[in-house]
Amino acid sequence: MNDTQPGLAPHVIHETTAPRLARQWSQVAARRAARHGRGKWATLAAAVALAFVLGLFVRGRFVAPPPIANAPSWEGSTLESAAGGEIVTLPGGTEVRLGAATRLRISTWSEARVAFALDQGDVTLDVRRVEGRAWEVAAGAFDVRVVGTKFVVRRTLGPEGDKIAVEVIRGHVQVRNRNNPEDVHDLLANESWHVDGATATTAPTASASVAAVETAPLPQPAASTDATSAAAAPPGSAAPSAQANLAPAPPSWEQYAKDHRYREAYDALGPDGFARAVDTAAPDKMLRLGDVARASGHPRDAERAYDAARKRGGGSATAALAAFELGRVRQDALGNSAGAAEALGAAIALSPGAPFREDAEARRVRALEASGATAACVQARDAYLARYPSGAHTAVVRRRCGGK
Amino acid sequence: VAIVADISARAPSAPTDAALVLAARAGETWACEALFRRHAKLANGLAFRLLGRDQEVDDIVQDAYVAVLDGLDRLEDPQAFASFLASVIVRRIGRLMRRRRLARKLGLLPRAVPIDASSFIAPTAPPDAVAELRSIYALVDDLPTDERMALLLRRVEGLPLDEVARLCGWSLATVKRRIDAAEKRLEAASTPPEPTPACAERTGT
Repeated sequence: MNDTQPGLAPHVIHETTAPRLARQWSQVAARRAARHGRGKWATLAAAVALAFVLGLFVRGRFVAPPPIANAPSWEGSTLESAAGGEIVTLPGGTEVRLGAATRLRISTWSEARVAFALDQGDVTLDVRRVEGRAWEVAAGAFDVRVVGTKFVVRRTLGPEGDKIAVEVIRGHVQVRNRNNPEDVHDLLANESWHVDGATATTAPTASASVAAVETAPLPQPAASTDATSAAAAPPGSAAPSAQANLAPAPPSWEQYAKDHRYREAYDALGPDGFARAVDTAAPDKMLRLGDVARASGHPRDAERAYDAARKRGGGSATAALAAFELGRVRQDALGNSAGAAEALGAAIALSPGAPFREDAEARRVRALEASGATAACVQARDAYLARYPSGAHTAVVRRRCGGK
Repeated sequence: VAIVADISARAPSAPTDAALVLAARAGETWACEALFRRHAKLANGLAFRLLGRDQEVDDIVQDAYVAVLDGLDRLEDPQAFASFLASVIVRRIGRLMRRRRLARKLGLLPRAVPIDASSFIAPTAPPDAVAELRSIYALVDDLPTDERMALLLRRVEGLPLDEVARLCGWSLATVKRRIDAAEKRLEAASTPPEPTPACAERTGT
């Protein structure tokens, strides 16, 4: 039986849209909740009885956080601080610490969801966790979702776009780019994330422009909504006019790429756009650019993007994957066996435990054989066979470099 | 494992699967959602390729996630979440296919509408891959379920034999036997039949 067939899965297209995933997750969460709820009826009944008995003794000693629905609505309020900063405690116990010269608007205030929009400055939120209540902070084009935690969001407006930073002190937050559902970052305690020169922002963010961006999945031009007037207006009242003012933008290269339309993605970058994008992108985006170039028939550009991603990715997993992809494109499309062997060796060294290691080792053996590096080929072959005695490529690798 | 090849590598700054599994076991809902979002595309893709149709993908993926998230305590290696999820998907689809075949044999279900592989083969796929995918998906509905699963995991997912064995819960020898049987059927289906005399008369050969 041939043990060396590559999988055909990359040639099968299956669309999994963000709304579909959201629907799936809501089903999963609901089913799990229902299942656990059924199993816990007996426990719950016992707990209620126990709580009732205990309540006779401890009544008055514990005060639950007041439900915010019973508190005056803060929706539409704007919190502003002077040079010294401010601390505000919201109904329910959540503490909002405003840094110097910060403006924070409360765009939604309900039992299920409290949403802020950070126009400028930095805010530290110490969220009092309440089951079923979501907390969100919109900063430019990014939403920070919160579940019982303490974190800082910082937004600095500049001529080259927003600089947005999130630092998690305790718990967990999720940062989502409203313009790109794929752009999601999970941050745990002591982790941070930032983006410089964020494009497609809604600076200064207003509830009107947030609504417009949420309804239109394409990147939107910056909306010059007056934050003060938007905050003073009834919630949501400015949304229709803001939506009307936002002309639909053409899809970005990333959106084309997501739809597997690689030629259009490459063309969307424009003349010299690919090189410019590679020069300014973060390593993970460089990797995506490399994928676009490779799939659209531009292997030289792919090589450039992958090489840049591995160099600028430091010792990260992204750098390792970029090195692997670089090896593949050099080997398969550019006929550069020596270069492929070098890149594949780098990929293995950067991430020895990576899932692609077996493929990388097998490819490296082939590349070394093709480049005439016989001694290195034999060494790589023997290393592969020792590591993967019944691997996917064993039969072929065994025959390389003069083997039988 | 080929199935998980795209996961950890593309999100270097995110928490590891192991960290998320530990948090999920501790009752953190956000960790469950993070595990879902991280692996959902691969789960959907795997289910789709094994089913060959989109209609039941949602049910399979949701069932699998409910089972996996409720069964995290059984996961010995928290970093192996993706593999655990894949094995649950594979076995659920196997059970579904077996039930379907039985129901069809008993006349309780009509014959399945043939899989239209051309609707999901990437336009960038090379001709040999297109031909292979077409021939595989033209045959899979007629294969015994175990052979179907073995063939798809091997040829479409490109998994090594031991990984196919692990996902399906079979021995390596069983996997080899089932793939061998499936490939013989595939070869027979791809080979044009010898012309019968009646055919020869009609075609003039």
